[in-house]
Amino acid sequence: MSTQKQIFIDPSQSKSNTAQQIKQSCGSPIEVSEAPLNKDFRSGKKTLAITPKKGQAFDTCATYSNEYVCCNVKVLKSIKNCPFDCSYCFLQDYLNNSTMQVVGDTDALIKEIQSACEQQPWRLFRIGTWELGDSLALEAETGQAKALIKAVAKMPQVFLELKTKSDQVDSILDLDHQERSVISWSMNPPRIIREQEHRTSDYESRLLAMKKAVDAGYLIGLHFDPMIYYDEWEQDYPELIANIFETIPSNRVAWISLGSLRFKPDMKQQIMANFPKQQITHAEMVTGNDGKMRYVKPLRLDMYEKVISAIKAACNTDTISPIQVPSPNTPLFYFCMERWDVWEHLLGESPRSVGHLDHLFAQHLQHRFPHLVNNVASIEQYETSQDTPIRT
Amino acid sequence: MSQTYLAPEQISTNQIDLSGSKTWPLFKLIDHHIQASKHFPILYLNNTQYHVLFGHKQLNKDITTCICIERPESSHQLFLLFCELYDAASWPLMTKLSVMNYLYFNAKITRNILQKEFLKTLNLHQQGHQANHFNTLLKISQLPTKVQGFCQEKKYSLKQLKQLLLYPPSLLLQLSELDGPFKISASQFILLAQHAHDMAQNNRPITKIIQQIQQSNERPSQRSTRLINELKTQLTPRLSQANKHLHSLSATLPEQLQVNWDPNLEIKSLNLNVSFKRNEDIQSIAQLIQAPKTQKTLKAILKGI
Ligand code: SF4
Repeated sequence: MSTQKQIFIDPSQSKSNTAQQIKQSCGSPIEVSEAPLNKDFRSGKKTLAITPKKGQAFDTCATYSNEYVCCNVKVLKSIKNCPFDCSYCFLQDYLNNSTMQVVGDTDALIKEIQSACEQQPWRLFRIGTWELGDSLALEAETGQAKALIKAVAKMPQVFLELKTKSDQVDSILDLDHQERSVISWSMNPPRIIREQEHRTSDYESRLLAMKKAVDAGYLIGLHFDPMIYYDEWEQDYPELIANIFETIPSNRVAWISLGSLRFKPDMKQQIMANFPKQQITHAEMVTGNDGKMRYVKPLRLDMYEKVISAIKAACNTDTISPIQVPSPNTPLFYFCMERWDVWEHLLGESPRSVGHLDHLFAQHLQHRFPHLVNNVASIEQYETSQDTPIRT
Repeated sequence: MSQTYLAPEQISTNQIDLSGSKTWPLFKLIDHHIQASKHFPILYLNNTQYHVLFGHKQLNKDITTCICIERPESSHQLFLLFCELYDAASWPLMTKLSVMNYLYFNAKITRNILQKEFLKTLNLHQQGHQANHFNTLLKISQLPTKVQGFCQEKKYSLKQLKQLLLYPPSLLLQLSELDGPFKISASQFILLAQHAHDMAQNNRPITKIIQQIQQSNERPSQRSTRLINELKTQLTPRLSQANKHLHSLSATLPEQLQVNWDPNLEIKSLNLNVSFKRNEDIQSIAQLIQAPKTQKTLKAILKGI
């Protein structure tokens, strides 16, 4: 993953652990007081800036919309932009400055997590570092994930989710992680990886990395998101799922999410301009209430149904509704940004609120991994918590 | 630019050497614009003789004031001067782009000089990645002439022109040739290109659809709206099929009850409209709604959304 990059560092970060790591892996970075401005999204991917933490890094995932069920995961804004080049990536239309930026001051990030835990000592937090980038793609250069994994190992209220399309796990395998970090992969069939997820690790490498993470005792997260429609999707997705569960046991998978390709209408043209050979924007799509284009619902239902059947078969279970009491082999399943009626159509039920789904995560994890979750607060507490978006 | 402009002055035409004057190819590109405005001919003085640099045609008009300058040494400075003196920033967008194209491909002015010196004068500069921006402008200037003419006529903005680059020039040409039998606005053209391109990517030719609509008796503007709608329907076969089924179900409801739903089938909800004229109707409508057959149909429609 360590392709040639220009690396800059804010002088305030020059003594940080990140700076040491950068020096070891890539030599001395250039000191600058502001991350260099890059307007072109691709050239930004060749520049890395180590920055101080600016403003609040801890937040709730921004994709919440009233019409869609959201899981209330928290995000730590510790990374901006990504060296990979997925055709569907929303960052190509989102960032004002495309220079890749990584917060060097991991202590300040950790303090924010601690403070969130102190403010809500009753709840379980799932926290991801992937909102604006890939959690592990720059790990060889920055060592940021390593520092966070070590810190959350001592935080019984936290599951840190490191979501990636890379195979960059070697440097975190020996850490004392206490199973508090979930290493997640966003997975698609090999053809989609080849044709749409440019510069990411290939399918086999991701599977191998997954196996290494399981062998090192980590819990795994799986995200079949964005699911992409193409000629052979019907054969390829079930095969993908079968392959994964032949590689790793389902009892080490903490959660699985499912979602389909979605993007803002303006981004369609951006994708066409940046990836002239892609075909993904020509499918049958409509604009949903959240202003994003998605496959039409009948198609989404078809696609999800196939994947759900494959997951059920692989986990040897009749139901994967998160509302049901789980067996140790059944990961928590949820849809990412799907409508309440899609849940009901495919699982027979839907969480009654965003707080409910958040609570289900805590319950599920406690049930399957009792040594990792002590008490689970009441559903009412999750539903009325200030940071929980309300379904109106 | 270290150019000296002499004050406009009255110069007798016999002081001007018109022998070597011919219309500059570049001038032809902006001829129409220049003719429509009151620009002075530009002269330069060589010994005691004035020569026309640009605008000899203007001399035939009753213009008596000229601007006299020192002749620039390099050809690119000459072009730049031309753009400055003839207020290039105010030229129509497509004209500016044709000028750029001429300067790059015919006059062989380098990309670097065009980017650094001409874009600003032509008011085509933009923040961000200059090389990308320049390439985009060149690509627009290479669109088929017919398409460029269409864009000129519809007064396309640079943003709209950039959108056209997403589609194959041959497709744009085919669509621009429809303007006539179809009356296509600037935004409709972009939408048409988008739909037609999506159709092509799904291996579905549009020629037959166009021919069918073209043979109708509709007005050109109605034809274009119909063409867009037809392509949209063909691009969403599942949605169209599902809506067709729902319409066939709703047609079986009693006529006092009408239902509608989100045609995108995203929002799972059904709106029921009832119409009644007299108080007594309320009771009968309630009965109609409660009738098992109605309920069965309403449930079937809701299920299908
Ligand atoms: S891995 Fe994620 S952040 Fe990186 S390019 Fe792909 S979609 Fe974007």
